Amino acid sequence: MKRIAIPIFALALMFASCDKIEPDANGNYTVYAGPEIMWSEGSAVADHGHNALVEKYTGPRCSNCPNADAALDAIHESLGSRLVVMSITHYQEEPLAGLDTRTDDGGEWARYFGVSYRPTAMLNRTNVNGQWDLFVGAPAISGIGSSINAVGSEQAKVAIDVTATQTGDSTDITFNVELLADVDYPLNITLAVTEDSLKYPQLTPTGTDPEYSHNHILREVITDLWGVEVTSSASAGKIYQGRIKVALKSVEDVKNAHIVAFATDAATRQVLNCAQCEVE
Amino acid sequence: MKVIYRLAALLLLVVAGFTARAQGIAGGHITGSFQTDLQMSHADSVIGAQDVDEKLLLNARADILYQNGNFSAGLRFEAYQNPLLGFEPKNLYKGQGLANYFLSYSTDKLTVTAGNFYEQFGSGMILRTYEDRYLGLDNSLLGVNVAFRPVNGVTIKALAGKQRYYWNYADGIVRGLDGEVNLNSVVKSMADSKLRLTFGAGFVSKYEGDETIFQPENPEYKLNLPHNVGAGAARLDMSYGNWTLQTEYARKGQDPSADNDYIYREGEALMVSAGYSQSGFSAQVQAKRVDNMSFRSVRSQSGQMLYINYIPAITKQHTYAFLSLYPYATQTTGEMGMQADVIYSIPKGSLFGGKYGTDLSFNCAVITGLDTTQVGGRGTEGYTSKWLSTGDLYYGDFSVEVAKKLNSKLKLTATYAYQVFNPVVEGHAGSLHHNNVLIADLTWKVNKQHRLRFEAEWLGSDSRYTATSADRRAGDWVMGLVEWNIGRHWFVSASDQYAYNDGIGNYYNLSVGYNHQATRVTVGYGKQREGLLCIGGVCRQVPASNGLTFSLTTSF
Repeated sequence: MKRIAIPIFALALMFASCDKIEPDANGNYTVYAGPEIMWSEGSAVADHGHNALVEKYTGPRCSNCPNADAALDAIHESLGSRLVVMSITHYQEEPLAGLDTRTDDGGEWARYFGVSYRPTAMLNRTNVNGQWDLFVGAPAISGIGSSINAVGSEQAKVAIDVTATQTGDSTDITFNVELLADVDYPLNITLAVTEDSLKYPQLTPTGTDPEYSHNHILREVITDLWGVEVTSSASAGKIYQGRIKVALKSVEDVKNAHIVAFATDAATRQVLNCAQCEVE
Repeated sequence: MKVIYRLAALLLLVVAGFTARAQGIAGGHITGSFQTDLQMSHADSVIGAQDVDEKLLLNARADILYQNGNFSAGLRFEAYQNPLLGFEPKNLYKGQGLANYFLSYSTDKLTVTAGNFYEQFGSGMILRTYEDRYLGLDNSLLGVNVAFRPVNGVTIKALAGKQRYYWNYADGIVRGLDGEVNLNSVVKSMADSKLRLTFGAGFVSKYEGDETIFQPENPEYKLNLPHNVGAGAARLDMSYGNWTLQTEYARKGQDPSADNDYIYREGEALMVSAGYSQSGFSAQVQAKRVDNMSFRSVRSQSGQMLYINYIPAITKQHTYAFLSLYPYATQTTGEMGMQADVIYSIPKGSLFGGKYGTDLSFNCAVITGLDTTQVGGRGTEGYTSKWLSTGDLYYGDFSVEVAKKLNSKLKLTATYAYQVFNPVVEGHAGSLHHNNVLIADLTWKVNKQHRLRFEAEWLGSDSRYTATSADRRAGDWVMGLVEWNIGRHWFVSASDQYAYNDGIGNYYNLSVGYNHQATRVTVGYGKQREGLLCIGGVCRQVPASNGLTFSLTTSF
């Protein structure tokens, strides 16, 4: 009996190790995937220039923030697509009234980069001698233009483009990441959503503007907070294309939304290049 | 690779320790074999050969087996520096190192193997690991394999491991259990029965982690993938007097994969082979039906790697050049077919047998697709199929061969074959090719020292070479071959294949060889046509080449 008991037990174990998946009502054997990126071979990126990402930490109770906004708007005016701005409402900034634009993702970044004051800006998440290079206060942010120009004169390691189309409630985002130099570090891509023309009260140097128009406001990070890995080892010339379909539920009006894509060295967090697009 | 080196070192240590206890290596014996193949090739736009950047390509291997009593150990060294043409992808093949190693202990009742091993359950429809150096295929399992024989006539096998994938091992884990009972050994009253009966059954399960695969039209939903996929089979092998019957039925659970475009339909396969033989006559009929039976340890794998199972081919394995020009590649995703094979020897002294007798062989095979109805795409059941209804014709051939010894020095073999080939089995669109092939093969034993063989072949096909299809097999061809064996050691052969109508190419080859005991050296120069090299229905794409080849094989 012992002789056959072991094989029978083994056979029972084997048959148990066979999964049976049941279909849904439509005959599909699928589960909701959440926003995940589908990867494929990419197409060449037309612009190999080095763009700058400025993350500006602001808040409705920060009276000096409008000055920083104006300074960055002026720089943006001259640089065009070479500058991408994300305006992150600091987690300690409760709204005066109306819309609360704080996000968990923005709060995590603020804590990680040690942002205490508003306004504070970061350019490409640069770390100098172990310290994050922060531009604290409106005057410092006003002078960020020369640093942005310096970034633009450097050879980019990667090039990025991004497009987004809206179909019904769904936004189809496609981006290409082209390697302009060999990669031997974890190269991540982060996708975020910003929104322009959000009207809610803002303290200004002269009082409160109840209809202040907020631009570039971070509404959500689509990918993981620190991005998703594109590659950790690849040669220059390789092009990756990612596609993700999401519902932009965080925004007030999709017409005013932008998709921001930025590539980082995940080991150092440094932003290597960035791009943004409107939702068509 | 570090793991391999560590285990190789362990193997050497174990062997060293064992030999020390067994009073040195003289207590056992070592056997082995060595093979090296070199290739040089340069561009030839007519046949589509490309220049070889390395100028010289090399495949080499050495198999070493040590046996001492119940214990055996083996290893295989392989080198691809860089791999011969057709061993693609080149970047995965190239390299060198220990590709296979094992330790084994065997008694009458038990065999235990740890390391790389090859195993087959039944005809292989749920599990067959094997290697073929000419196909560049090795799907050995690295793990543990146990065969237990509790009583005479009963064998139980259990195994677990991961499959070799070029120089690494695949992530999927393969587990298997198989039992076989020979009733004539187990039941005393049947020991001398004319009826010989063997039953067997097996089960194989593979485990693979999750991955994200979307439905293209619905990218917010990913496939709910089974992590454990099982396949089971039952088989019968019986004979009664001159009659034989082998049959096996296999069934596989949901296994969405790249091969079936991630559908959830279960797979099944049935194979039946019946035969009759007596002196001077044998006949065999085979039939099979295969539906969605591709079974790999990694679901996203394509090509010929990481198959856990093997679907036996039931088309004749032709050896003549023009008969094997359009080989049939088994369609693991779905096919059905039949083959009949008859061999008859006309007795000596009869009207047609003559002084020496005449051997006749007939073979006929037809393979079709399944009759399917699509019910959905990726992430659904995929399709339904009618069991006994056939789909498109994939392949058909009929051949008759007459072999006659004309006198004490001359032997003639004449063959006629008709083939129908559907390019869809190679993944190409196009109409059916219809081929007629005639072959005359004459062997002349000139004297004790010299033997000459002449071969003439003709292929007439309705296929036409076009620059678009670039199928260099197309058109009408003639071929001549002369082979000269000089004594026991030397041989020389020359051949030429020429497309005289609707085709392109002139493939000449010259080779010289030398045999001495277990060593064989061959040097060849000529042109190799691009096409499929198939062994047992498993195929490898071989590109055109134009240049020198060198081969050395030896065993000890």
